Amino acid sequence: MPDPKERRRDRVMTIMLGGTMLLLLAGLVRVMHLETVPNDRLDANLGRRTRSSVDFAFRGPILDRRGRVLAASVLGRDLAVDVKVLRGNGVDRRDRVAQEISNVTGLDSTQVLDRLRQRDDARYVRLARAEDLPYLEPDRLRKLTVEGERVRGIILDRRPVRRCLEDSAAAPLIGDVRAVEWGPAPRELDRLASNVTVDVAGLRRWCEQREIPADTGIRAVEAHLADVLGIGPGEIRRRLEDSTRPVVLASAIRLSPEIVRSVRSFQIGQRTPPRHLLLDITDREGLTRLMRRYPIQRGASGVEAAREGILQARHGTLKRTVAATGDTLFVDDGDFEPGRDGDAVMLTIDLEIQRYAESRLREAIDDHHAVGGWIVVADPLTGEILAAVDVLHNDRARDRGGWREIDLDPARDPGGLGPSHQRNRVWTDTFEPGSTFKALFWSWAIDQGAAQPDEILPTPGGGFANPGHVFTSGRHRRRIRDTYGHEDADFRKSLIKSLNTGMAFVAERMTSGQMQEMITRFGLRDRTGIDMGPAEQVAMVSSPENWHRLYTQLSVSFGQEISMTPLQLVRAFCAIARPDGGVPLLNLVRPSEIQTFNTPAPRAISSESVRVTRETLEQVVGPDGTGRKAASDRYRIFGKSGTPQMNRYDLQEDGSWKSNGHHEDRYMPNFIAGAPFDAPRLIVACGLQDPDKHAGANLDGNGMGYGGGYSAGRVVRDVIDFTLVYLGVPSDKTADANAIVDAR
Amino acid sequence: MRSGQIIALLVLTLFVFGVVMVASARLTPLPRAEATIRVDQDTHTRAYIVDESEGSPSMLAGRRVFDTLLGKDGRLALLALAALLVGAFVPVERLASLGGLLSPAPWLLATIVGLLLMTLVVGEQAHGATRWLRLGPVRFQPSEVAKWGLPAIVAWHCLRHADGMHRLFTGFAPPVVLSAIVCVLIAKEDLGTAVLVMSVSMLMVLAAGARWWHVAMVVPAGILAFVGFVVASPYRINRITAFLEPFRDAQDTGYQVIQSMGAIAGGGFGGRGLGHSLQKFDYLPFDHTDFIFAIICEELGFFGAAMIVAIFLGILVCGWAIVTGRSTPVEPEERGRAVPPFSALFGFGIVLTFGLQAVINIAVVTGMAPTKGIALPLVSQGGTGWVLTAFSLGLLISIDRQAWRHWMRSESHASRDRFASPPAVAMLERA
Repeated sequence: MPDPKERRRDRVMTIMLGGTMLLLLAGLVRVMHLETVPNDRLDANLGRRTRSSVDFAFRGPILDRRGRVLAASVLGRDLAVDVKVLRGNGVDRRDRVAQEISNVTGLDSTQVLDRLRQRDDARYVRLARAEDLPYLEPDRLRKLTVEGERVRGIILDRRPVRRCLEDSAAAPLIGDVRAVEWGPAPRELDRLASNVTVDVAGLRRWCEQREIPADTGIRAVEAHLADVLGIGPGEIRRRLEDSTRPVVLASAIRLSPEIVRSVRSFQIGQRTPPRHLLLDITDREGLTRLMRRYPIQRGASGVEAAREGILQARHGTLKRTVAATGDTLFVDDGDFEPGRDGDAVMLTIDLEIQRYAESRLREAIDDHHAVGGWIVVADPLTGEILAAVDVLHNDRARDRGGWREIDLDPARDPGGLGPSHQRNRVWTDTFEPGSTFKALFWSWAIDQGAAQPDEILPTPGGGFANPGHVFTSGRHRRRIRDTYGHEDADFRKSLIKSLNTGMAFVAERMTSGQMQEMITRFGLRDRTGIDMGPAEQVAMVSSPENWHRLYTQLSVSFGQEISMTPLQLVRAFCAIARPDGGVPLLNLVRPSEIQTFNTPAPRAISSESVRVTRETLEQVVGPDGTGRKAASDRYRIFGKSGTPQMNRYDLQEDGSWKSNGHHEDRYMPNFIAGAPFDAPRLIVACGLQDPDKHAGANLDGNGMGYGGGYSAGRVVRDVIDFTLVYLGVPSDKTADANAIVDAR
Repeated sequence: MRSGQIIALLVLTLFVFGVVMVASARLTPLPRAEATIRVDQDTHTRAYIVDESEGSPSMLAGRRVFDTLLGKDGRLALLALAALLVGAFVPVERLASLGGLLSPAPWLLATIVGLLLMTLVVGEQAHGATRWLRLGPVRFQPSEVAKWGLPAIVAWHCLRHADGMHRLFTGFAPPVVLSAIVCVLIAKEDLGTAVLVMSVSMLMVLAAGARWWHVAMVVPAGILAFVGFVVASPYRINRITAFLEPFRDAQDTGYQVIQSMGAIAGGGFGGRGLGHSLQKFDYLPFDHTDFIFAIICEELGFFGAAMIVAIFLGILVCGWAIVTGRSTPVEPEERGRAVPPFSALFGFGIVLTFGLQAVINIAVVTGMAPTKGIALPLVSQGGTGWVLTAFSLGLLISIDRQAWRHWMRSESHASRDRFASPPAVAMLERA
């Protein structure tokens, strides 16, 4: 029998050690509890174990046709200063630091000091944007010293900035990316809670803009969402049908990032619809947080905006797992998403031609005290635009030789920051071409057999004081005058002397269908093919229902009651410059493949009509023609001038503009020509806006300087000469090309 | 297999585990590790960079293995194993039976008190507490000596007054007062160890024959003393506050326990994998010492935690079997005499100290107790702790060996009496 003391000892020891073992097991249970039961409070208080940084990607460069860089993105730095640090330790160093910063950056030291002194309690004060510091030397700023002591508190915040070739004449064409959008990387967006919300109306608009049948697009969306969300296609169709507002098909709660990514990357006809048409981010706080982190450049105008999809860069992210000290430990699989630089866009523009065209245009604008002007240089065979310049002076205080300003002009808005800001009128604004259009009508009439070149027409004589001719249609009567009357001129002379009556007599013989087909065949109802977005305009002319035989029909024959963009005029004129009489699509951006020499184009007129028209237009530039000032010593030029009156617009109370006839003494002289004669390589069109009409003004001092042949014609001539020599096209006249160029 | 041998194996397992986990917890990021992927914003290039000066990855791995096995921790573990071996051959009962000046208990007590007093005067400070003492090249914590030494003194006293332990003043009070004095000396800098030591002493006295109401009477005084020590030190108040409301000041007082619980939660059931802890990279303070259990949970998940607890339970079960005489195959009524009283009580003190230390550590790490400076025995990195714990467990093994030897001797006598067969006796003796 055991001793009671021993039994008690045994019992106490067993209880105590057993209890200890139970406590150990309790500890294990607690471990399991911590490991398996989520604890939001614990997670929230642990702090982050990762640091994310942006792998900056750069927007693609824009190059000219020879690969010269016109615009490119580089890494710039916003400059900011921590004022508190500058004023630290009781010593105010702002004066000296402002001076030193000014020395290094070129910023005005007074302005820098003013910024630093604006608020004494401020922390971070931005001194300059990266765009304003193109030649910043970051190392010099980082090592800045004042009285031998390193300056602290200078912050250089990196971000990509767009740099345009400073003296690039193509700058207005290239457009602007200064509107910087702050957006997250797509992958980061996928992690945000998002509803699948379909905007049917938006999708329809998007499809229509891309010439995708809207119904086909919507059906594709329905099928894809049915597959991804596991909802029946019929159910989706029922919910989307007749909806005018975005419809939520699935809430964020049940969506994984994979589903969101699948919806976002969905394509219709190899194009990805904008994210917001299918997804609605519900995590606004997360979105705001992300938006602050990633600067994304977006094109605001010109090529930058129109080729956004090609140029756009996608920033990458690098998420590092770090120690508490901030040292990087590792990068998990999938946590490094490299950025993707945007692709390059090569324009058909040649920088040298563009530069010369712009300088010559500006010279003409100054010579003629004009408000502005435009010029287009194109290759009729390939449809490539070699130069496209639009100049508009918004400075109303500019000296115009006493020629008074027009009070109301929608093309010029105060300060240059209104609706016309960054608008390139070469394709965004239409104008009434006037007599320049006669070349197209003349070739069409010949081609249609409505008239023969040598056919005598009953045009009225009388010189400047000619009475014109009264045309009738039913009970309607209309008097049409010529600027200078030539009695009984033939149809050829009608074009050479630019007789409105001559054109009207022939137009009278034609049906309205023939006239309307002319507009179609010369491509004036279509966009030119440059694909520069919805801002590109097409010709404006009366619809067939409103077509009036006496007014529309006759007016169109001499370039009135019809307006078109300069690019459309150039494209239509290609028919006369091409051997096949075709109207090619124009290009502003070079496609990836090498362009063939002669781009197939729908034929507007026959080759025979081309030859006859070209011969006649050469005489327009001849000694007896209205465009004689455009004659070149080097090349045989064929062209046509026009001096239409400017359209008049009145500003309405609601801020809109209303057309109100024409100005009496305001003109839009223009000229279009091609060269060389036998195998044209160029078409150049130029227009000037509101040149000085004072008697004795301008180059010739004869009061005729505002005429298209006098003003724009000379510009066209010079640009043709320069460009053809630059392109190495041999002269088809006897004069030495180099001598001409040297003489200029 | 004898319980002592199982304890030896379990201790060896714990050491291997401890050395590996301490090495893992002490991993530091490579210098310039941020260069693993470098994105140069100026040139806009990305590069994977391996620093030549650091050698190739395979060389790095080799160096890590070498450092782990034969580094400082490995050498300390070997020293601790040697201590275990030495302890296993210490004649516990014979030393306890020595009397007069040869009796080791008074000397041990004098040494403990002397070392603790020296700590108060010339102790070295580390992590805000003066717990360390340097004697020549050796730097150790006297409180560790007291923790493992005091059970021997208490057991010695209980043996001397075995018949009077049920009396308050002559049996119960002396060892309790003695322990209290020692604990007061410890508690100034290490309240957790003091509580542990006092608890073990009280339970030993209880096992030795003291009455329950004696112990119950002392508990309020102990609680008062505990509160007094807490109130006297603001950082202890903070620890209590952090235990009660860890999220109230998550970045300061509650930081450690939150990071510890975060490590366990972060690992999840399956763990992040050996070496893949994130918390050890300066997020969790004392990750390779007092909070090594959190790192084990984070890296090895529930499996690692269960393995550690299972090993501790194994040692406790074996220790219980040894001190209660169940280790040897004696008849149940003979168990009480299978292990001599001193050995049984001393062994109980060792097992209880070991077990309670593990319990307290795990409770602290999992947020079930206020933060204390109590290490996880044989796993948390610490030279003094490893050597003294291993030596103490060695003594437990020695107690088991003595019990087996005693049983075999008695068994051989019984056989001789039954069979008088010399070959059978020889066989038993050989066994």
